[in-house]
Amino acid sequence: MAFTPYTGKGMTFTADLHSLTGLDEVRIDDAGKPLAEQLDKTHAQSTDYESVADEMGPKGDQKAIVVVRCKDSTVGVADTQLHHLTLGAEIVIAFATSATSNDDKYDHATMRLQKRVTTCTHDGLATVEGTFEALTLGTWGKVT
Amino acid sequence: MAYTPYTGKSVGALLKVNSAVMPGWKKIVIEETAAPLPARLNDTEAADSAYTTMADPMGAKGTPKTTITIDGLASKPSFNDAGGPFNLAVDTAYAVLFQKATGVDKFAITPVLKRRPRVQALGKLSEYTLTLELDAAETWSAN
Repeated sequence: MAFTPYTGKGMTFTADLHSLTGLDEVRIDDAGKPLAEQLDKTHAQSTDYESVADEMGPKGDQKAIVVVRCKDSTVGVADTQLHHLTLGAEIVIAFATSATSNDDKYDHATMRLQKRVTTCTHDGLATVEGTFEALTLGTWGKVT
Repeated sequence: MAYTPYTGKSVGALLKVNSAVMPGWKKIVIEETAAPLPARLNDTEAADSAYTTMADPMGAKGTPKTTITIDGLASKPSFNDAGGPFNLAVDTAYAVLFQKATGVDKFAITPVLKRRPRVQALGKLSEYTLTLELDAAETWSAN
């Protein structure tokens, strides 16, 4: 019986313009800056509590984390392109929930591949999970 | 009867440590981590109406890291093989070659053997785990 690669369920994910094969799961986590802290500056003579913005500002920055997991087979040619990305380099990613117009699409131009975990078993199955990070947010839009 | 070593299910994937095929390997996990993102420092002044940040002039902390974990079963003759992978010196670098299948990606690196625990069973096979590490990134290449 000919080998049929696992191809996911209609989602598409491109990294550095290459479509990933065997797409199984995508997790996107966009986080904004922490809210500005308010410090208490109430004096003894005050009749009510007063506060002032923390001059040091919030801690941290915006952060986007995208985790993509692909299933693969070591016996087939459905070789995932995640293995051909350079760790730490900025790349362009795009994720679409389907090819249908008006469905959601997520784009980010400067994500860094921070982590790549490859798991292979002797029975020919493989899973590759890539974690991308950036200090800016991506944008959601419609598939065009 | 001639001794036949346990070799796992043969599907074309190839794993070599120190130029020798790993006997009875069941699973390999290759974890590659890039250097951390550069930190951003808060640059907000009292007169600023919005919060601002700047890149940390010290740059990113740390270096890339690769960790390889190999799980499997091996027979007593394999463990007792003086030239085999279970008698390699810890804290020494050895070449590791992993090829997913003929004609597809392969990963070649020379990490340092850090751990080699083994569960000794009463039967003919014992479980083993080898852990190798390197403070560097390697690239996957087409076979």
